[in-house]
Amino acid sequence: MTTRYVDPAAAGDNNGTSWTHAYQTMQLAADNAVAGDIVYCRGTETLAAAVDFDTNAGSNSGGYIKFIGCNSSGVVDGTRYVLNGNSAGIHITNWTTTAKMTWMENIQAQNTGAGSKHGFYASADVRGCVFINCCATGCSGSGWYSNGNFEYGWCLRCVSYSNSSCGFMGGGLKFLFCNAYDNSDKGFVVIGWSDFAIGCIAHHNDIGISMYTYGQLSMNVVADGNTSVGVNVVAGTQIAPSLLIGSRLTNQSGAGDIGLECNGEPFLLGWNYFEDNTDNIHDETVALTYLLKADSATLGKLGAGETDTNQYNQEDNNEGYTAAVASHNFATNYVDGTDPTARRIPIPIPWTTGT
Amino acid sequence: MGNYSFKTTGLPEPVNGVVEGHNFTQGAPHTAIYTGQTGLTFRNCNLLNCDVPAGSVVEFCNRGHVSFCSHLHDSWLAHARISACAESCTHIIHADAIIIDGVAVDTNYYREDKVVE
Repeated sequence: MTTRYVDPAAAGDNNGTSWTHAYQTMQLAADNAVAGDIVYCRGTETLAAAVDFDTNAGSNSGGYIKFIGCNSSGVVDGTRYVLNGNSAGIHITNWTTTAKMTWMENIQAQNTGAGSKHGFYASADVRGCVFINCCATGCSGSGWYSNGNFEYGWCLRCVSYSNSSCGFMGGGLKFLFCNAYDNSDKGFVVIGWSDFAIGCIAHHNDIGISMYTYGQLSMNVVADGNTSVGVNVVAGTQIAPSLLIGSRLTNQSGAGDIGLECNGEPFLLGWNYFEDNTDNIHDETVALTYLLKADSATLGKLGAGETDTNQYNQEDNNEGYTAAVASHNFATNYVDGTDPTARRIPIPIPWTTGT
Repeated sequence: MGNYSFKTTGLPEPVNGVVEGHNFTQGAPHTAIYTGQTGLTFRNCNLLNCDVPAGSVVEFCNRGHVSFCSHLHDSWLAHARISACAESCTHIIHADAIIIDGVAVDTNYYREDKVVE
């Protein structure tokens, strides 16, 4: 295991052996680091081409190849190493099949320039990559773009904002405690088999979260203030139904104003909170949406007057609803009000509140 | 921070001449924003398809212009954020004829958004 260093301002031998002799580019580190190596990075790097991860790979026996951002003193404190595309019309990073098991921590990708270019991009299948406290912003494409290529990948506490397409375009990526906001298209696209978003927040995107109904789970997510739809369940070919559990869908405002749009087929939801959406659940009957019922272990098809475990603030929902559930009290843990920070606190895991 | 995608009105007021941290992505290339204003600085903004007032200072912003294909962005088309392309639009990069029993019955088109000057 070798420790390596990247600092674009380093003036030494630039062989990566210390901060003094650090590589000046992440590309050099990516081309030289092998399984088990840790690469510490500090500063801001302006790119003329994408950083290609196409040479070396982590392994089960040797471990990840880790790239970890540091502050200017070389301390790992959450400060991100910045990869700036400088509007050059490039992807910021690009993985191919070779570079499996890459670990990215405290890395920021920004300013791709035009051309549907992405921040963290896999152009071919690559397995087992991990992103922790990474950030993507100012991309003409998506912040993260997998579309099936980041297989068995994870995003933990990552943020993606102000991108011209999606915040996180999944497909193989699982999302834990991530945040997507101010993106022109979707915040999260949860699309791969058994992919999930847990404890994530999507606000002020066009659509908060899109689920493509391949047996996915969104749990304890918040979709707030998105322009069109909070959570959109997209029609597809289903074998296993997807689930939306313990989530907060509030304040969608603009074209659509829909809390949950059910374009898919069998879909399960329960223990969610709806407020200030013009239409809480749209197309539920067409989509065969099922509610997890509060008073029974059975599943019931959504219908007028149905008792369900989802809670609706009837005063604020224009759609209204006949089935506010007094027996299931979210209010204990729900912080209402105009404070957007409070509004975006994920509600607790449903079964901890009892039914 | 704010999402002002596809909007040219109701944009946030500059603070001491600085507009910072917003997404102003527009549907059509060279869409003017903040028309008529002077002395502005844009910092850490997404300015894709935006033309900012002449003389503005632009720092750490994403810039460039792209022609979006409506076949690839159906939700934007549905909300009139971009214009509809023709079936045989300029975004087509490849076409595969679907041939059954020697007869072309349909065509699969492959499209992409185009960078424009």
